[in-house]
This record gives sequence, structure tokens and C-alpha cells, in this order.
Amino acid sequence: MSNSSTLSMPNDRYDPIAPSMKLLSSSSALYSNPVHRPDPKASSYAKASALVFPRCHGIIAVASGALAVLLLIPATTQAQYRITGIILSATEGTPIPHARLTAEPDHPCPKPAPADTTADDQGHFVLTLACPNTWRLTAEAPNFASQSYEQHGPYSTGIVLTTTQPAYDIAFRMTPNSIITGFITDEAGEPIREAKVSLLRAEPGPDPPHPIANTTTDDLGSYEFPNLLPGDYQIAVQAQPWYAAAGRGGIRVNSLPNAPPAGQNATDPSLDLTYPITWFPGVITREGASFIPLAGGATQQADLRLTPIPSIHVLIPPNAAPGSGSEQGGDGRRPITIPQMERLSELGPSDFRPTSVTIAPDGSLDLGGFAPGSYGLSRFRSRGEQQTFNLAPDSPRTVEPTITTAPAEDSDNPGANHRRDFHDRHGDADRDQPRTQTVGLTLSGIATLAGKPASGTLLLLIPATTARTPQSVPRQQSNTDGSFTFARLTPGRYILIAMQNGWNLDLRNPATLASYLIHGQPISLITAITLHQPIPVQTP
Amino acid sequence: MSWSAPSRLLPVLLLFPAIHGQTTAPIQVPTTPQPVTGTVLNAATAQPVYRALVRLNGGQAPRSALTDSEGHFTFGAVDPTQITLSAQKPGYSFSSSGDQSAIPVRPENFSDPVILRLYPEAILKGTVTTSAGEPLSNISIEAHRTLSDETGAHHTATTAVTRTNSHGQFRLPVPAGDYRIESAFTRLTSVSAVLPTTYPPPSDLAQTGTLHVRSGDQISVDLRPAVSPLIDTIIHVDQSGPHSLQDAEILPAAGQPFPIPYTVSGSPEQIHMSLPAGSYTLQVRHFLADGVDSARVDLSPTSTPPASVTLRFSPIANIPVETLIDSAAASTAASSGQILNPPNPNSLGLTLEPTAASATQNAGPIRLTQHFNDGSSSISFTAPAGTYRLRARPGNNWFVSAAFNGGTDLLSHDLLISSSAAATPIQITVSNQYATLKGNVTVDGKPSATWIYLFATTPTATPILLLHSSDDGTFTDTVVPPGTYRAIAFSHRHPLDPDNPESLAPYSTHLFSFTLHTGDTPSLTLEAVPDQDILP
Repeated sequence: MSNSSTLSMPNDRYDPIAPSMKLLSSSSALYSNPVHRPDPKASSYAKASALVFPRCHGIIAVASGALAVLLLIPATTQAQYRITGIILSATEGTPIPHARLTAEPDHPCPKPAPADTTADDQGHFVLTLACPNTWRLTAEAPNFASQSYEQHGPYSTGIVLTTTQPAYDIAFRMTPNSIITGFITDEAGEPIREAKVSLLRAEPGPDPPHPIANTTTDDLGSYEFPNLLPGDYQIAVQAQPWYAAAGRGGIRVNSLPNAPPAGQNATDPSLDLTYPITWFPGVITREGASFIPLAGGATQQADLRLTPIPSIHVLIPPNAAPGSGSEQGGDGRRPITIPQMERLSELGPSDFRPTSVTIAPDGSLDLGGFAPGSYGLSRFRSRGEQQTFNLAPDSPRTVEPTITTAPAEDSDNPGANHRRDFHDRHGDADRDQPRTQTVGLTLSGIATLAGKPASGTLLLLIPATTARTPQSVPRQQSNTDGSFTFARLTPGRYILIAMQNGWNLDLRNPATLASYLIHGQPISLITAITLHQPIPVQTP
Repeated sequence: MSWSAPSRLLPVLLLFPAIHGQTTAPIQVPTTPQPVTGTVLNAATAQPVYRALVRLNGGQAPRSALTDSEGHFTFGAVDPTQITLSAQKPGYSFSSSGDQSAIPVRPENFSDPVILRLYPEAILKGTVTTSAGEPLSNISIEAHRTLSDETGAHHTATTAVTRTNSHGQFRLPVPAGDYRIESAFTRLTSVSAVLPTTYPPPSDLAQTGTLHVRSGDQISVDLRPAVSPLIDTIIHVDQSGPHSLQDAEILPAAGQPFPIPYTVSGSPEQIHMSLPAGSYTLQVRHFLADGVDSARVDLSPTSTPPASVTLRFSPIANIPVETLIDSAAASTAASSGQILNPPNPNSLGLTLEPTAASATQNAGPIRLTQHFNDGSSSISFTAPAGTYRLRARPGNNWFVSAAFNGGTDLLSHDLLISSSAAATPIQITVSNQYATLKGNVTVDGKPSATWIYLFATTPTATPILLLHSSDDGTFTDTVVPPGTYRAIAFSHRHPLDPDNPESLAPYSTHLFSFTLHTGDTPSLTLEAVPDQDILP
């Protein structure tokens, strides 16, 4: 999807309202009040409002100043807020009939009302709205991913309606579904069933890709992520060799006096294998993973063949094992329960089932099937605690790891970089607005290009102290009036940059970002800030 | 007592008291560890299975090995004690019925290569498209398997669930069995939905029942569900007092009922639904402390503005069940000075099984419920309208010798329940005048543990009896109701549908018919269907 760095009026050819909106949007009065609220005292809007209102009622527009003032009264008291336009295929340019549109306001309306409609046979729509607001439009249609207006990942362009600009006309270009599909096979080339396949998407900016969806393979080892938007993606797979778990017979209790102690597992070592997390095109480190570029309407195939490695056995001594302490039974015997395990990785927490569990006479546990990485015992999650341990790549085959207890991550928001773990293979993975920040400072402003509001522009707020390798860079997309608001910011020093065509740039390359940083706007964020000076959009 | 078997048909079946005087050679039992070898075969194709995992248990630590490209496996130096072997691989099951987890191997047989059979799953696959041929993605597809329990009663279990991919394709791996494939009601958008479809189609269900799927089958099915606009509808619930709406279903004129989501809007007396256009019955059920009410309305939502309908609930039919003693049983007891009391209906394991053509088939068998009022209790069936078969669990002190609902003989006819039915009681006549059946079974000429199925061919509430022979091949059952039966034995459990003659046809040479009368104690000798002849 192409970005729009100037106020976009895509439907001038058939919509007479467009010129009036251009007039309104170019008004400098906007910049003194960038918040998306009605501005009853904006007298300079009178003419624009007068032009808009008669159209709303099917009356011929009159550009007379006197008449305009007269018409302003009904405009402010009976204004009908609406978004009109057409739904088009972004690749074909043809209208999409019968698409469903819904609008969500950034702020609640005093009298909420349903805000949805269906486009007609020619793709035209009229969406009547309850109040002036910044409206987020989402469209859905068969063979098109559900998507927001000018959506880029979790960001979209909000359509700003005010009492002085109660209507707006757009061309909503929907990108056809893109698909990533593939087959997951084992070392013998046979399909792996029920492998967990994670999809990660790179967002504009230097952040690492984050997981947006999971699915599992079918009996052919096949998986599919449908309904994707264009972008750069990565694929990672988690699985266990079926024979490793099946060959070891589940839980074994070595209760006999001559039973091998924990750590001396008697099963066939040739089957005591596991698969490490494997990234497309077949590497076990994220750094070696390839990006899968996905164009609108395209299908990319990403097959993976997993290679097993010897599994690591984890010993959990009795005093650290679940069932100790307060869980002692009334007869003094210690009930043994097998801890629920999670694998902790860039893919977020994921259920992990050891391929073997052996309980020694002293109550210690030998858990098999581990690959190097981090793991958690989720036993105390309900208390807000989590026990974790790490297995280094050079760990011996049997290890008694150091288990640390730390506050559990928010189960709804696991991982600093994982906004949400999407489970629905057909889910709308792209709707969420970013939630990477946890502190409540805001930064608002207006992005302009050549003195005009810049709609749909990428804005980055680069932390000044860690600009070279930030873990999570706040970003935003400007609305139709150029306005933007960063929320939940951490106090500190930043450089704010607005980038023309920023959505299409390779911002993972530090050199790309460096040239923009030079001309960025330094921001020292201590309290909430509203910038009164427009932020100029930088061109490449 | 003895009968003459129809020897021209069944030369291997003897119905005389069995003679087992077999001469056997001395058995060589090893005393030192020996290798155990074998092959894993695909039960459907007899081809070797590559990379199957074979597990050996018994006597020492469990051992596992993967088969080679010829399906062979070898365990070296196995202690001379009884072991068990099992095989597994994704996509296969170790037995056709899931009841067998391993086979025993005695030390004296270590030198014989072992054949392990894996039954490949079947694949139900296909596409879901609109009538115009457009693929429908993300449609939920379910495989419903029809199973018979030990009473011969059928019930449905959801065996596999998937969703169509972006090409409208689906795959459902399932074990062999009888299936119905359903695509679910799925909202496409907030204003349109895909209506459910069924395969075999409803028009075929009455004739062909279900889709019979054998192990290893790959069956392609193309579903073309209708796409319907959704119409906002307000449902007014005409019900005073506390209540809880439990489920809402659409009952199409043809086809399976399907649930429809609803939300309570405003007050508990108003529920909101987005209903598809068309003509059908909407049924809402509603659970109370002492039973179930249901309401049906005929709807034809076709256009906006929102339709508005009112539901008036009425209790679902409560059909009391009474038991009495068969006169012959009573007189037999009386002759020995005993007075028999009718058993509690609960002890008979009575159920009402919805028939295949019934809209309530998915709900499963209806069980008896006990109601308490003012210190007294009554037992009844609480069943929605439909047609049902009466079934009773076998192996009780009593068997059902007769059952009537008014003038309807429930052993030979279905029970028809309408929503406005008067509560005519079901009268169950029971007897304890059983026959005893005993005998022995061989597999490939050797006495073996087997499963013996008796299919009743005279009217009964218990159409299947399942017996088991022990390792020496003998069996005895002292509680076989009198009647005419067909008997067949299998080397492992192999569910068959007595209502489907085709399921028994491949084994006709192993079937034997006989009639039992009260007090009979005949003996059967059966040659069981061996593993390799059981059609997966």
C-alpha cells in the first residue's frame, strides 16, 4: 500500500465536496489546536462549513459569505457527521462491491450509535456517524483481509471530523489477502503433525519482528497463514519428535530400590532427541532467519525441515520440585505433581511438554526433551510469580539448572516486545494499536509537508540515549488532518522524526535512520506535550 | 441340549459340546536372552510401514526401535519372559477399534518373526464453495462418527474438526467408521453467513445413513453451502420468573439442526439474534430446576426492518416409565414360594435413542430422569419431540421382554414423541428367565481370547450382546435373553452396526444363527475372524 504524505483527495473526480475540504484542511488555524475535538470558535471555518453543509442536504452549494454565515447555524446544531467514499482493490483499482465498513471513534461519543454500513454494487458507501471525532475505519470483504484505512501493521490513518469539517471523502484501497503457507517435515522428510508455527512481522522501524499469529500443522505437515497484509514476515516452528515422546512411555516412576537414579535414563539414546526452535529457512537462531517479503495478494511458500538434536534432561531436586513444602499430604508423604512447563522465547511463552518424565525414589524429577533456551515453571503464575531457568547451548545432556523466581509477566501481554499472542489462524492480526509503552505521558502534534497537513505519515520517536539499537521505538501514523498522538510514553529525551514514504523504507538498516535523525526534532519529555509547531515531514 | 449346525454353510462351526483333545508338540522355552524380530505392516495394504516405532515392554526396561524401510525391527537379547509388543506412528492406530494397545509374545515364540499391523487412518477431504464455485475459507468442518454402544444404541461423537483454508479445502483424518460431515454455520460478515451443510446430504440420510469409511480410505467430498443474509431479530421471551436460556437452534425443513448464537439485549425477556433469511423453525430451550421447556416458532425472516417474534415456552414431554414382571417369571417364582418385585427402571439402563432421521440425533440418547415431588418420586423420560428407539443395557438381573407405549410395541416400533403429546406411560415388562450360552473359540485353529458378538434378530431392546472368550478360548454367559441370534467372533474388538447388513456381509462365512429358549444351555464352537481378515 502506498503511503500518502499529503492530504489525500483520491476521489475528486466524482465528489464535489473535495475542494471544500482542501480549503478547510489548509487552514493554519488547525495547528493551534491539534487535539481531535470540535472547535466551535474556529470562525475561519465558517465558509468551509457552509460549503459542506448544503451538500449534506442536497442543496446547491453557494460560496457567498453572507449566506455561508446563515448556514453555519444549522451546521453546528444539526451537523451530520459522515464519511463517504469508495472501496477499491489496491492491486486492481476496481471497486469492491458490498464491502462491510465499521467505524470506531478514538473517544466515546456522547450518544453512541452504530457506525457501520455496506458498500453498494459500485463500492460506494456513506457512513453516518454520531459525533465529531477521529474515526478509525475498518473494511471487510471476501478475499480481503479485514483492514483499517491506510493500515500499516497496527497503525492506520484516523479520519478527523469536526463541527467545521463534518464530512470527509476517501478512497479506501483494500489490499487483497496475502498468504504464507508451507510444509513442516522431519529429518526423514515425513510430515510433522501439530507443529506450532509462529508468524512474526517486521514493523516499520528498527524493532525486531514480533509474533502476530500461531497455527498448527495438519496431517500433511501443512500450515497456512491467510488474510495477511503486505509486509516482511518470519516463520518459526516449535515441535517435538513424535517418536521421542511416544517411545518413552509417558511418566515413569522409579520407585524400586534398584531403579536408576534420576539422570540415568535407560531409554534408547537414539530416540532421545528434540527439535530446537527452527526459523525459516532452517536455522536455529533468530539472527540467521530470513524475511519473507509479502506483496498484496501474493502467496509465499515457506517449507521447513526440522533436524533433531540430543535432548537435554533437566533434574529438579525434591526441594525445588512442585509438591514440596505446603503441599505435603496429611500422611506426611509428599504428593508429586508434574510441573507445567513453558518455553520462553522471542515467540512468547509456549506450552512445553517434556518428552519424558521420570520420578526418582527421592521425589526428584528427570524431565527430558529440552533444547537449549529459557523455560518457565508456570506453577506459581497465579501468585504473580514465575520460576525460570536457562539451558545454555553447551549444556551437558543432564543438567540441574539454577531456577530463579521472578515476577510473572502479564499473561495478557507476555514479553516486552510481544503485544499479543494471536491464536486464531484466521484472526485479524493487525488491528491492535501498539501497546509497547506502560507509562502515561503523551506527545501530540501535527505533521506537515510543504505547509499542508500530512496524512498517513510515519512518525518515529527515537530514544536519544539508545537511538542506535532501541528495543522498542514508539511510532505513530498521522491522521487526515496531520495530527498524531503518542501515548503511554516513558519520560526521557527523544528525537521525533516524520518520514515521507517511511512505511516503505528499510528501517532495520541503521544507515537509513541516521540520515533522518540529523533533521529530527529533539524532544525532552517530562510531562505531556502538545507541540504547537508543525513537525515537517522529511523527504528521502 | 444341542442343535445341528447348517454344515453346508458353516463347516467350521460346530454346535456340539466342544472336544479339545489336541495333541501338541513339546514347547521349547528358551532360557537365555534371545533376539525378537518382526515386521510392521499396513493393515489396509499389507505394505511395510517405514519408521514405525515399536515398543517392547516386560521383564526389563522398556525398549523402543524404529522400523527400517522394509518395516523390520529387531530387539537383541530379550530376557526369556513374556513381553508385549506394540507399534505406533502418526496416522495409524494399533487396532481397528482402539481397544488393543499391545500384543503379548511368549518366550517360546521369540524365534518366530512377529507381525504387527497398523491401521491407517482415513482421510475425509474436500472443498467448500459457494454455488458459484467461489471457495469459502475459514469454515468449520466436523466429522461426526456414529458409534454403537454395548446395547446397540447409536450415538454420535465429533471425531475431527478443522477449518477450510484459503482455497476452501479441508482435510479430516479419522479412524475407520461411519461418518457424517458437517460444515458449520459461519458468519462471513456481520450481515451474511454461510449456512450449514451435511454430507451425505439430508435427502440421502434416510436411505444411506452415514458415509462408511474404511481404514486407509481417502474420500473426497465437495460441500456447497448456501450463503444467506443475516437479519437482526428481536425475540421476546414469554416467560415469567427466573429462567436460563440454554441453547437456540434452527431446525431446517431438511437437514441437521444447528445452533444459532444469541445475546440477551436489554432485559432477560428479550434476546437478540441475527437470523438467516429463509423459512425454518427456531427452537429455544430453557432449563428449569425441574425440567426443560422449549419453544418453537416458525420463522420466515426475509427482510428488514428487524423481525420480531415471541417465544412461548411449554414443558418438554415427560413420559413416565413403569415396570412390571413377566407373567412366566412371576409364576416360576411363585412356584418356588418367591414374590418378585418389579425392578427400578434405573437398574435396566433404559435409554431412548433418537433415530437417524430425527432432528435430535445429535443430542445423543435420552436417559431416565427422576423427579421428586412432595416426598414421592417418579421416573420418566424427558425428551424433545422426535422419534426414538427404546434401548436397555444388557447384563442385568432382568431383561426387557416387552415394552409398550399405549398400543405401540416399542420392541418392534419407534416411539414417536410430539411436543403436545399426552404423557402416556411406557410400560416395561421384565423377565429373569434367561438362557445360558457357553462355548469355545479358535483363531486359525488355536484357542484364543476373542470378542464374540451376538446380534439379536428378534425384536428386543438389546440388539447386541458382547461376550469375551478367555485365553483358552472358552466363554460362558448365564444371562442371555431368549431369542434368535447371529453369532460371530473376532480376534480383536471390531464394532459392527447390526442395522447395517453391509457391515456383516464380508464375514458371512463366520456367522452362525441359532435360537435360544428360556433355560437353554447350549454350547457353541466358533472359528473367529482372524486379524488379517478383519477389514479395517
